[in-house]
Amino acid sequence: MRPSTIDLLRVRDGEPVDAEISRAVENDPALRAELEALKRTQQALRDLPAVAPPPGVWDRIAAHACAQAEPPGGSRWRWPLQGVIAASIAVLALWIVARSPEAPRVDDSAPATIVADQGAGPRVAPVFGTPTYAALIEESARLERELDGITYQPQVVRASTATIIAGLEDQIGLIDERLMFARRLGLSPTQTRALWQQRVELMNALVQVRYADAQRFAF
Amino acid sequence: MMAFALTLLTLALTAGMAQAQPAQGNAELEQARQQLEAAARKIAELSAGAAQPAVDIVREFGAGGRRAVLGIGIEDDADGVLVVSVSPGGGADQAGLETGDVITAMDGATLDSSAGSSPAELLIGQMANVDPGDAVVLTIVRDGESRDIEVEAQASRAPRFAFGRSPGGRGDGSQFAPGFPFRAPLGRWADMELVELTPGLGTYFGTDTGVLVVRAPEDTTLTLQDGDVILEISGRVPMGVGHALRILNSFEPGEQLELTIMRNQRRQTLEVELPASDRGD
Repeated sequence: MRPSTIDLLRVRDGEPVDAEISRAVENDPALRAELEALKRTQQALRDLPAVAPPPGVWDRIAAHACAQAEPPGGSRWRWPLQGVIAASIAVLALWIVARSPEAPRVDDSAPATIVADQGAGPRVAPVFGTPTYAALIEESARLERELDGITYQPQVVRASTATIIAGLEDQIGLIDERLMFARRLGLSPTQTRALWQQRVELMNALVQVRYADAQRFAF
Repeated sequence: MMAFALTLLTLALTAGMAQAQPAQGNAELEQARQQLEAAARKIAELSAGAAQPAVDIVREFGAGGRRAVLGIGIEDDADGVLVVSVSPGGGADQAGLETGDVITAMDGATLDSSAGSSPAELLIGQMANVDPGDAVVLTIVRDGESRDIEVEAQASRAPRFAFGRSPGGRGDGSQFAPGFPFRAPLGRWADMELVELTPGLGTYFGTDTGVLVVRAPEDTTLTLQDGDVILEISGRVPMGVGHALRILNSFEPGEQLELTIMRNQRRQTLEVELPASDRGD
């Protein structure tokens, strides 16, 4: 079984994972590189003004990360959630940067995955390349599986969070409507691919928000 | 009794967090959560700004009707209609349809290319006879096995995105700013905390349906209190937390709305007039 992005985030954040996942990461150079890319992504967040965290927050989070080697005392729950939220913000922030007008252009062969940058250094552009139509559909389906994997149960939710989730769902639904009627609407292949690209981005945002929200009670 | 039940519920859902989470951590988490939501909102803004999301659909199908959708993306397949996407929260999603399923029939009518037509176009054509709220039976093949799944069709989202308000008019839960649904997301009530009422909890509140207000907003416009159960909003029955917020977010400044609630196990109606000045954001 290939570890999912969420599995890798758990590994990166020091959360308990199945031994099978640990072994897979340990033995697979590509997965190790992916894990390193996730760590670089977290680091890269500090340079993103659009979602810059309040002063001092990330330093304290980093301090928590360093403290992982020490007995956690009563704070078993807190760091993983902070890590999850931090990772979620980082992933979304990179999408935002890539979407901005000044984002660097990349070649068409880049894979359609959130964390596919396996090269050296904090280079993130290939993550947001213009992937193939098939790759986008595959990534969309993978994100749907990720979403399905987030255990849902009625739980207390803040209005602001629920509104974001509802809005993302509505927008994804609208894109699906347009894709459904793409032929009748006369959409070109380029327009269709752009819709799939948007769908992947919105699904990614939805997964991050839902996952962080679900983790509130994962103690 | 209700206050006791509410206390139990709140403790059950938050005690672990409170114990494991010092006050300082709460502040950091709150800041981080706000950052996350801001990032998600930004993604949606950028996505909405990248294309005219709904105008072409409305132009093609008209805005006056209430066209029904299943909440799936489809392509032709050798054996029927291949599901290539399932809209989160849509009818198909709630019914358990999955990407990769192949739909071979709808309401007993076979979807294939034997007559020289596109199976996907056949399905689209059949949907023209379906209204929102109707149930359709899809025969699907998953992992080599055939099964029937009943899906409740939902109304198209296009009019609300195109015009910011659907033909249904005020308070129908489908109004958003044109092209983008995140306008001023409940600025006044963003701090409100809600949960869907389960039948078990419902026995304490005198109703087995509704949305429970675990924490009322600091803003008193809605006049809600901790422990209220929202049953209806101006005649509309919220099907969950997200739906309740969609409805609340559909009202304009200065409009009036009615909240039908259970308070102290008694049904009552709150008349609410929204301030005309702003939405509190």
